This record gives sequence, C-alpha cells and structure tokens, in this order.
Amino acid sequence: MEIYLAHLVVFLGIYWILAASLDLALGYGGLFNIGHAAFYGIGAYTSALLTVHLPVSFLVALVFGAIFAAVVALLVGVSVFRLHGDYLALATLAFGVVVEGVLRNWTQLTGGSRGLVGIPQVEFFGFTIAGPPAYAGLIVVFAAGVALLLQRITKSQFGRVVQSIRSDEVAAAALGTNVREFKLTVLVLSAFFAGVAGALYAHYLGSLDPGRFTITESFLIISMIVVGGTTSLRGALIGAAIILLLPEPLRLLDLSSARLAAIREMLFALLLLGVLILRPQGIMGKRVLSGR
Amino acid sequence: MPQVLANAVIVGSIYALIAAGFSLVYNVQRFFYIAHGAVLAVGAFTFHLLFQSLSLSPFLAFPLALGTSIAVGAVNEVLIHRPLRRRAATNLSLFMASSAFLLLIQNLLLFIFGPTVLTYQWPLSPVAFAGVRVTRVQILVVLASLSMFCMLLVFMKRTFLGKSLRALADSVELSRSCGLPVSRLNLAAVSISAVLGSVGGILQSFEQDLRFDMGLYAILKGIIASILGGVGNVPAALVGGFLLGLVENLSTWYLPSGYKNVVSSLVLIGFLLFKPAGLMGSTVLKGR
Repeated sequence: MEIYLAHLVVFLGIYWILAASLDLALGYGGLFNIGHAAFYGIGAYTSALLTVHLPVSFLVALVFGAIFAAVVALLVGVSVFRLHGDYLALATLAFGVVVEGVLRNWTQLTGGSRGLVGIPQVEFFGFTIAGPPAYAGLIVVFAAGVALLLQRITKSQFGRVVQSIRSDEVAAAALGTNVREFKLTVLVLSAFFAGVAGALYAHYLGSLDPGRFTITESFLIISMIVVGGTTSLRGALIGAAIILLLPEPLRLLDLSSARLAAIREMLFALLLLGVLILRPQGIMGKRVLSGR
Repeated sequence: MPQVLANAVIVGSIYALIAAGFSLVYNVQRFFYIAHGAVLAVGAFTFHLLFQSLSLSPFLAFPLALGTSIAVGAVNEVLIHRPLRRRAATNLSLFMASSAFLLLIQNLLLFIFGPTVLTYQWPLSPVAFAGVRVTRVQILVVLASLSMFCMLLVFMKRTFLGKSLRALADSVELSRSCGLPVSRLNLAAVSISAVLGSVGGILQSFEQDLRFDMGLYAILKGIIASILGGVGNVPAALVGGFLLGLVENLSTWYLPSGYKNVVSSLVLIGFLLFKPAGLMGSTVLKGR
C-alpha cells in the first residue's frame, strides 16, 4: 500500500511538472503547442542515454536532458513561429510525430520499439535512491522547485509581457515588445521543464519506450490544464491529480484489461467534454483557454 | 517504380476522401475536426458488422453504414460543437472537444469489438497490367473514390446547398445576413463530410484492416492530405491525397518503412512553412 501511494505521488509530481510547463507556453503564452510530449521524450532519452553510456551523475544527466530539450525547442520555435493558431498547432503536432518516429526507428541509439533498458538508479553522494518511497521524496523536492521557479517567472515582468502578447500580439508589438523573442523564450523554458520531467521519469522506471511520448501523451497533458484551469499552478496540480487518480478505483472492477482500458478512456473523454462544455475555464481557472 | 505509383494512387484515393470530408467541415467551421476520425471508424465498423459478420447484402449494408456515420456526426455537431460555438469557444476548446469525442467513440469500439484486428475475407486474385499488380478490390477502391469526387465537384459547384456551403465558408456574417440557415448548413456540412469520410473509412478497411484506433491515424492522414492539396478548396483534397500517397510510398522505397510517418510529417512542416495555401489553394484560411 505504501509503495502504491508512493508510486502515485511520483507520477503526480511528474505530471504536475509537465502540465505546469505546458501551461507556461499554452496558458500564459497562448502558444497552441500540441507536441509537448516530444520535449518530455527528448529529456527522458537524453538523460537516460547519458547515464547508460557515460559515467555521469543523475543531476548532470538531468540538466543536459533539459538543456537539450530546450535547444530543440529553440530550433523548432525559430522555424515555426511565423505560423499562427491552427497552423502552429499542426506544425507542433507534426514535430511530435517526427520525434516519436525517430525514437522508435533509430534502433541502435534508442533501442527502438523494444525500448531502452538498464538506466541506472539515482545516486547522491554514495546513497542510492531506490524504490518508490525514496523516489517520491526526490520528486516532491523537484516538483516544489519547479513550481517555485514557474511562479517567479509568471509573476515577473517577463510573465506580464508574455501575457500581454497572448492578449493582443499587435498591441504588444506596437508598444515596442520584441514579440518573437518573448515567444521563443517561453517555448524554450517550457521545453526545459518538460525535459526535467522526462529525466525524472526515465530514472524512476529504469527503462523507456517510445510509446510513452506520443501525441496521445501530449493530449493527456493538455487535458490536465484544461480540466484544472489554465494560467494557474494549482490548476495544473488539480488537473493532473483528477486525471491520474480518477481511473484508479476502476482497478477494483473484474474486467478484461482491454475493456478496463476502454472504460477508463471513455470516462476521461466524458470528463473532458463535460468541463469544456459546462465549465470552460476549468476547475481553478480564471480565464477561458485560447490559442493563437 | 510503376508499382510504387499504383500503390500511391490506391492509398492516395482513400486519403483524398478522408481529407475532403475534413476540409469541408474545416472550411465552414475553421477548427480541427478530429471527430471526423470517429465518424469514419464507425462507418467502417458498421459496414464490417453488417456485411462480413451478419452477411447482409452490400447494397443494404452500405447505406446503413453511411446512415450510422451521419448519425454519429450529427450527434457530435448538435451536442458538442453547437453549444461550444454558441459560446464563441476558442479553436483550442473546439479541438480538444473534438478529440475527446474521437477518444470516446474509439474506446466504445474497443469495448464492443475488442482489441483484435478485424479483416475481410476476399478472394485475393491480383490482376496484372502494364507491369503493375493490383487486386480487384483495389480497382474498386480507386473507382469508388474517383466517382465520389466527381459527385462532390458537381455538388459544390452546381447545387444550391453546395453554393451555400461555399458562401458560409467565405463569411458567416454575410451568409447570415443573406438569410442562409447557418445552423442547419453546419449540420449539412457535417453530414456530407460523414458520407465522404465513411466511404473513405470503408475503402480503407478493404485495403488495410479494422482496428478500434483506425480513426486517429486516418484523420491525421486526412489533415495532412488536405493541407498539401490546399485546405481552402475541398476538391483539391484529391491532389493532396495522391501527393501524400506518393510521398509515403516513395519513402518506403528508399527508407525503412518505420520512417513513413516521419517523412510525411516533415513534408507537412515544409508545406506549412513555405506553401501554407497548399498546391491548389489560393489563400491561407484564418481562424474565426
């Protein structure tokens, strides 16, 4: 039971970081990004490969994973930011498909569809952090750290400028804001934190497979901030909690795994539809979701 | 090489039908109509159930499958899109709601039919001509798709309903001020799109197999094909479908087949950046 609860805490922490980091780009920045899981996957695979092949510590691998995700975000941003709205969304979606395809097919590097195994456990000064309870502690520290950073970012002058761009890009540009630079920074920061979440995920499970970083995963992360409410750290936490914990009682049902999965996904879809139609701002939300 | 071209035409004509259904709704409502995947999967599964499992005549099974598809599309339009539009919901909300509907239907199919792959038992006798081997079913697929496109072309250019839909695609306000019944036209667009999509879905299930999640993959192909052809122009989906089929088949010719989706996504990104109006489109559509 303890291990089960710790396991839930680990996943809640990882998805909070993912949802909150996407909220920075999508909620605050208004960037219609539907390929967030790609940055998550890049962070996960980069940090995992570093520790598998080189004698580097977990923290170094995590930082490099996050930085690499951020660099890729910079390249993506530079090329696609001339697009707006639906077209930007489509480009990020295509980017997600490309990253997943590379993870799946570059077999020598990533292990392909069979997955990457043998990722070493986390060590600090000779102490090994093994098992869900210890890892849950580590996750809580990281999630709190990321939340504090995100709060500093969104409450700063930078955060206010970003929100002004979301509200009216032309007006912000007319006031002398370098719109492009601010959007790029937001996307890069968002990808950086997604990379952190990826590294945490990789070293918790000890193995990775590309099926975890698909468009479906991106959709799950967007759903969390839709349900919880955008532009809100608490919203991201509540959304992640509801979407992760809601299907847990279904485990008690005595059904085949395919039917169980079907019921879980249908409940998730109905929840999302209910929120979108009845409470468009989400549970904690202050404003209705918009993307440009 | 002629075989590559033939395969490109076969899958391309399926993608084209799916793309035409998507772009019809996209033109009128301007958001990513992901639920199109649900509509076409329901059509394909209904046809398989009636024709293969209950061995009904195809002339009875086909209209019944189309009817079921239209019903699913109409339910989605009335219960989900209409309330959201009335509230002037953003594109992102509509996209999420439409995707949630696909997820709902897809898992309903999983619940009913299970995770196994369903197939048709055809007598597979390839016909050879001009150095190409194709099956009779594949010839049927191409002919059915082309005749649907002829009908679509006549419908969009000649009939009052087709002209009204093009007017609505141009401007909602002007259409309303001319007295066009906007709400009913939206429903009509969704229904016609359901017909195009479910024919595409049924043909696709002849060519490949039926899986509960076929809708998601089909709609992704449909979106790519409609952008390549030019999303502002519904019949241009035919060009986009053939181009996507060609890109996919060429990529499997030169690269491991796993890279097929990577290559088509890169082509999509290229088009978005350098030719966002598509091959045949004249303008880039903006969201409303």
